[in-house]
Amino acid sequence: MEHHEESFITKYIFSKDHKTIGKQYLITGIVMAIFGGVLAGLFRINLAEPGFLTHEQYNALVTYHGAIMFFWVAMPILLGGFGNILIPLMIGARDMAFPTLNMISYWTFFLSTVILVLSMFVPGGGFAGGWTIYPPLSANPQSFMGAQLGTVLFLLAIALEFASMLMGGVNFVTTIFVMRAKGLSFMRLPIFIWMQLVASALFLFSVTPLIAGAIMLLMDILLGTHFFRVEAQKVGDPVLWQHLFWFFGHPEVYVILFPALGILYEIFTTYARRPVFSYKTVVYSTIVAGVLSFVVWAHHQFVAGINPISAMAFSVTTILISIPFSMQLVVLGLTLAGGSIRFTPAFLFGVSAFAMFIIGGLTGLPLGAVAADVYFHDTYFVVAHFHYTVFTIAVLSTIAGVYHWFPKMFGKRINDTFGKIHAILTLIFYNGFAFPAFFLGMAGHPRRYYTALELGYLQKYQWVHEIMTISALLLIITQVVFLFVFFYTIFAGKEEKEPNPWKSTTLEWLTPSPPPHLNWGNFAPIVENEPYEYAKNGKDQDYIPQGRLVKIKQKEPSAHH
Amino acid sequence: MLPADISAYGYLVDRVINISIGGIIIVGVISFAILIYMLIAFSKSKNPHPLSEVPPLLKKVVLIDYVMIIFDILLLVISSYAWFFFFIRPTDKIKKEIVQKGEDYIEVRVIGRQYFWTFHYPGKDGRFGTADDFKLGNLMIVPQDTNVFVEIESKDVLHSFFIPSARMKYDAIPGRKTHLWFKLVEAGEYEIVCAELCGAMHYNMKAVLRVVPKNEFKNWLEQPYNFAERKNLIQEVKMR
Ligand code: HEM
Ligand SMILES: [Cu+2]
Ligand SMILES: [Cu+2]
Repeated sequence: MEHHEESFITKYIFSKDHKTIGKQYLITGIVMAIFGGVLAGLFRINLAEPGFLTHEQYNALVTYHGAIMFFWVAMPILLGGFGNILIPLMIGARDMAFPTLNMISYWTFFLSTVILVLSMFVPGGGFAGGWTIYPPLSANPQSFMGAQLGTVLFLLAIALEFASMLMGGVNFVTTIFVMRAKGLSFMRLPIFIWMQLVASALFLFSVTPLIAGAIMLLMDILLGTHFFRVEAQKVGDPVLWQHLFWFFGHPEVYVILFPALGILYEIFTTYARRPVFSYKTVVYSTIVAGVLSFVVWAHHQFVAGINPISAMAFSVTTILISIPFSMQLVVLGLTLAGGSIRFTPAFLFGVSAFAMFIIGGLTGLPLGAVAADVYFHDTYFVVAHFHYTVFTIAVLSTIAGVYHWFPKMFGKRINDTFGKIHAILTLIFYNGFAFPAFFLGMAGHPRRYYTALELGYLQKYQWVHEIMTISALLLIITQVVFLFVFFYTIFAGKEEKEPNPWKSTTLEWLTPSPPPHLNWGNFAPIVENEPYEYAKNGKDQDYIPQGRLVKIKQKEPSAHH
Repeated sequence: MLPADISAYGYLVDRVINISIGGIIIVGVISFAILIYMLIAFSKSKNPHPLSEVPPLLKKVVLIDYVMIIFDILLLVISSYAWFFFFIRPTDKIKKEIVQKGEDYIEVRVIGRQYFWTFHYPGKDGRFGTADDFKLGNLMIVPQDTNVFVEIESKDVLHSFFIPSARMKYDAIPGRKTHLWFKLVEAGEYEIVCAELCGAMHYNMKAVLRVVPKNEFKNWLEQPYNFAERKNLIQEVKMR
């Protein structure tokens, strides 16, 4: 095999190798997760002990927390991290279709991260108008102490982040379409790959209106136009922004949900030793849910001045979309039926995620039923509901994936006992901070409130806020410990030489850990089987790998040299 | 946990809330029971080798999908009914019905600003734009057992007019007028809050809702310029 001399810079920094880029995304995302979590810890302290922060700081921290968790944690980890590392490995490719674009994508993302963090500390303070950036609040800089520079930088950071994810999306779709190994037809793709494909497509289709909207918003701020602003005779339309934002925003939730579900399918099959209960149901219901996700956006605007008849129509589509998801969860759950479950850390995180998705999914129904949403809209019930979905996506599922693929990525293995304790503590503290929010929402507690003590009918619930804060702080401490263990294991952890420690079927487990540059050396994978051939009786093992490696005759074809 | 309902029709919303929450608790508990059963029955220690077929009884779990479809339809029907009742029927029609039933109504205009609510009353003659119109700051007084039609507007950013005890909420939007309608039956003092992020003091943008017996309201209309009260309220807000 031809040997490529690589300097430190091209190997670890400006690398075009999908695995290195994936790890860069993963690690940036994990660091930002701790950052976003610490922000949450700070404003949670304020909810227990009002006065800890100023009003402006409170709003800014909530805003940055939300934006960071979506755009700098969930997306980079699930798409940029797992997507980049696993797509080529799972489909038997040597790299992404466009490795240079991939590198540019990461560094654009990195730049967006720097600008975002900077925007918090410029004179005037960071942007404080909520992660949904609703104008006119977001378009009238004087509304929050003239924080114009912070706002502009915040929007710029988001724009760059989208640009980087767009480059990634193009890469993912192309790679999955044209670089699959011999024999890997679409209906044999591991579900994780399907999920990445649908997620990338959703992102590509939904983001354009928002980019247009963001440009209009920037013009309102910088040039004084009136797309969304209202001033005496010049009447813009603030509701227009909400349409543009949620036309993107709702599919965006599925852009991060699908890859997370994909991780859970890989984990459930591997550790329960069973095939997916119904592969086709998963594929079709994912596509149907993806298409439907474009016609539910106005459920965020039921009481925001939209036509009441169309509100009712959006209520119908929203309740309707719960059906493909209930099908998915049933299939995922039944994948355990008849299995022989190994309770590894990855499985514990995976099954917690599954259980929490049940809560998150079901509690969407009271919000989708338009008449109940009149009461619940913009209360802590919403905060509880979306933390049961997005925290599950961005934390439980991703950590499950980290434990599962850690040996493949780094050739090391995180201590199992630590992993199990980590999983149990995370589940407990997570519910401790998120579940009580349902009660606060029932009691009519509006969200984005600096404190509830100003409202007579909420004062008696202050102890609930205190419990939530304690739980949240313990949760954050647990994750900080995990961060240390994660880095410790990368540098000094126990080696895991076995390429397939979990006896998994998919292609990535055929190559050594960590995989060499261009993944397969002098071999090429060919696919002969379905993705999840577990529980096969009459064989010497209980599983059949999806494919095998065959030696290639000529010199190794190279992806980008 | 819901605050006591003080309105005549809030039960329509509560019904949707109760049925939806009750339903999801039932489905949730069943799902968790099945999950826990599977985790125990199919753990490696209980079941060292995976079965080659899913046990037939467990295949029936897919029935949950059908249960969910039926539940969804039920939920949509009761929810749409309540929504139709409050928001889809044209205001003129509602007013006509009210008059036919021999009930009264009043109209109030609500204006949201950072960070206070102003309530405009048409005065004794019941018509806006006449000399007896008056305003209140952060205080809304409405007669008991009387229908109230509010027109909501904002003078700066988005706000949301939320009366938890009446199960009613609607956004205040600059450049548009939005509407709510309710009828309160319990006299007393309640809270009106803002439910849409509007800036630093969003959490403090609240008003008092005072529901008074009809005759008391009438007497008060005779002497509406309780100016001291109004000025204090507005000043208090500005100082914060
Ligand atoms: C350490 C764990 C976390 C804690 C303690 C936490 C706590 C909170 C709280 C209390 C709020 C509501 C603040 C308010 O309305 O005043 C909030 C908002 C939010 N959280 Fe989290 N959260 C955590 C993790 C996450 C994760 C993992 C996500 C994932 C994507 C997330 C996404 C959001 C979003 C989008 C908002 C809305 C922000 C806004 O209103 O603009 N959070 N969080
Ligand atoms: Cu949505
Ligand atoms: Cu407000």
